Amino acid sequence: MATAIANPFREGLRQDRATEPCQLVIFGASGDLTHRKLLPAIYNLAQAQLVPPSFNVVGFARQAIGDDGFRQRLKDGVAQSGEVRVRDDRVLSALAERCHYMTGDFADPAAFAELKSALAKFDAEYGTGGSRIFYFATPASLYGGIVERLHAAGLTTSANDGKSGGFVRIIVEKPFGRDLASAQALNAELLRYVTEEQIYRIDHYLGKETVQNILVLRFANGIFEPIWNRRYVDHVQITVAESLGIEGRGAFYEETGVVRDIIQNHMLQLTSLVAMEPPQTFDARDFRDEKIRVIQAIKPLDLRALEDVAVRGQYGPGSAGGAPVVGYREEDGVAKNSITPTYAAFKLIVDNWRWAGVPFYVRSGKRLPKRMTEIAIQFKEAPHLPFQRTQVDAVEGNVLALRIQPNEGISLKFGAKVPGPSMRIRSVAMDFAYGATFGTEDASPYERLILDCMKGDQTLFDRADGVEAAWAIVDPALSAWASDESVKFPNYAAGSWGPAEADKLLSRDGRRWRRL
Amino acid sequence: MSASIPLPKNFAPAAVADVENRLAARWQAPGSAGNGAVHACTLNLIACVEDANDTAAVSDVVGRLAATHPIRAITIVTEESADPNQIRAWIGSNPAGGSAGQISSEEIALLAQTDDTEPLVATVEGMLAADLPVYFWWRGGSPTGDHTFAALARLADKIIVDSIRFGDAAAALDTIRGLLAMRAGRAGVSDLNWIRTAPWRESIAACFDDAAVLALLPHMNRASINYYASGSTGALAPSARALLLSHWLTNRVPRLRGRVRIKPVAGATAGIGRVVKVSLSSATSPTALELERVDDPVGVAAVAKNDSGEILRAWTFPAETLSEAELMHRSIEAPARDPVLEAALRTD
Repeated sequence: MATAIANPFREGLRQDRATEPCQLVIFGASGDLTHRKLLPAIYNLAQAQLVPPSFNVVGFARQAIGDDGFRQRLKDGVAQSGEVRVRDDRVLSALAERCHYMTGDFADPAAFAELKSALAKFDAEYGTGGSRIFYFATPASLYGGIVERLHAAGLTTSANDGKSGGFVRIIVEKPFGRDLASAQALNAELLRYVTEEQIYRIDHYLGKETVQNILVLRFANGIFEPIWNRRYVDHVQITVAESLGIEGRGAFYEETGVVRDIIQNHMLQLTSLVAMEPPQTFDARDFRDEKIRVIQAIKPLDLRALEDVAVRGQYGPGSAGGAPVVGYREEDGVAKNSITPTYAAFKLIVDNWRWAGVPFYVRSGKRLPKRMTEIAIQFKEAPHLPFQRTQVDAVEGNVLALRIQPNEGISLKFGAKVPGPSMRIRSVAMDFAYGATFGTEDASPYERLILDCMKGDQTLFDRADGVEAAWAIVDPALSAWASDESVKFPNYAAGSWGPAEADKLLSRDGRRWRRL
Repeated sequence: MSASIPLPKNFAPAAVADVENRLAARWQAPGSAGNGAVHACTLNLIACVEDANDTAAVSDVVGRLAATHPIRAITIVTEESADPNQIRAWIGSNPAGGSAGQISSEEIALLAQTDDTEPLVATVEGMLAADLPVYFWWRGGSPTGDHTFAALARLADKIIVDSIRFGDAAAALDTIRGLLAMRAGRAGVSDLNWIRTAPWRESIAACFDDAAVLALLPHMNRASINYYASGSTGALAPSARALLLSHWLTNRVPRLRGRVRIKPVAGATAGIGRVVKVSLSSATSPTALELERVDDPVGVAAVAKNDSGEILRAWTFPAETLSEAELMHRSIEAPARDPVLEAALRTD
């Protein structure tokens, strides 16, 4: 057997690990995700010369739009996207020429046989070497059927049988199931036909620069890690607040709700990045091992006293952006007696040595006063104040706030003496703003994650056991809430910071939510 | 004598002792929205120009860099005719790189008499933004033996030169080797001319990222590099770029040692020294990888041929000519040391 040699010319270049030649096949190519996110992200990668020179895109969906229609969607998507940094018609035209479209039913084996023939033809035309990435931009309910038919068509292994390093990878979008049982079933279904190393489960939050910066802040700076534990941290607050409502997606949201949409995935990802132990290395295995370990360390919610650790809410009529807005139950596609939560808050306990006794309060909701994602590390107050016989009787604890969006940055709140003859202390913030310091526009999360998949780097993707561990945390609350229809919804007004019970979740512990 | 230098219009004179206060006043003043201006600074850039007329070009580069690297730039001009024992200063007013309320570049220009090295270095040292890396951009000919260069280099975490300005190619590379030796054990040396070869190196690497092409590499045992020379093809004009690429190829594939041919070809005056073709081939078969510069759009067209001479792959890589600001941007973004350049220069 021949030994693979490394490319000796790659060392020291800006892209130290190149993307290999491949075809990107998008199932659900006529859909909104493809148009708004995936095609602009692929264009950005092409414009930045990050796609391999041997590369093409194949769209696959039921809707008959043809090559021209698909190419037009690429052009429209790029024109309309706010995430496109440099518009270059030459790059766009060159990419469009490499975009093809196939009409087919996801349940039709003949369509997959046709797809196989087309991919073989494109391999010869573009030199893509039998390597494919299949992007499942479809409802999760279709994942199992698609992967089964890919397997039946012989498309789950590289067309060149790996003789020259070919690969097949699949990218699947959240939600990965709607509870623990369905997530386990979905994982089992996928793993029947492909290996875990072939599956890239996207949570686009992990593709955000500022989310990755949490790791840099913690593990590349000597000053934070020594105090990143129960001795110095009083508690942690994580907020994902949205000012928007459900934006016409009533039917989707009725099936999903805030816990499945945000908390089970994005918020637990953020929690794990804040709470995880330092990984040995940042390779996919070490990093994901530590991330999953800390999720597994979160104490199961106590169903006997669920209201002490979990709060749900649903917005009623109120205001947003200075104008009146309807309540959730008045939105299109929403049942008049819906008990789907649009707000949830949890008190999570990470049951390990580092975090014993440090609660993690997480909250997310729709129609809150502003759009804001923030992680706040609230430090304990100074143990002793040596300012007797002054006007200082209390000083607030320090807060390290990591702003994920908008105005990405980090601020540290601390006490400073107010100038003047008397001893007075005021909290001030030392601010680091990403935009002011680096000036560059971030790559979109999809751009980063598609590129990582092309490189075969699974670090920022979810693993089966990680997905299941996250479901295990929220599943008891979801089950209990689904079977309890006595809840009085709506219980917060659009434009407010959520139900009063959410405040009690903290006030019970002598704490309060940060004013954002 | 009232010496001056031809600076952009946004520069105003300032007393040396007053520079720091004047700069601080700008970011303590309210921004356009009534809030305090955001002041960010990630590095110091000391730019030493050979010709006073180059200060506008430096200011232009600083303005472009500031969009991604908030910067304190100190541009230095030394002239025989300048007043001795009197360093003159000007402050630029941040015309580019910052949005409203945001200060992303601070520009200072200094004029000193050529022999006033010691007070000049002390002045510069006092003007550096604290605890931030210092990049020293020498925008002139070979610095070997230059007192100002040697004194300012001691302040620097990274020295940036451009060997295209050093004249003879072999001597230029010797100068870079000398700088690396001088900086041994400390932070690095960056050559903008080496960065100019990046599109070639990236294109070659991209070709060999293809496993089928990489499989041909063991059969390739010779290389050639063509570059534009002035006049007839027989007149060997220096091209440090061709020489740098040759050293890099030999360092990456040691069996190419002594088997890289560098050939001048006639070209436009504006492109003198530019590499226009690179090939790796076999002495015993038609196996080859050939890369050639193409125009409109500017790029590198590459073809890989198998041992039967059949075209296995063909690509066209975008390879736009990098502006001075883009070269500086890449230099600043790169790690302080460039072990690949250092290894290439150690290669015979």
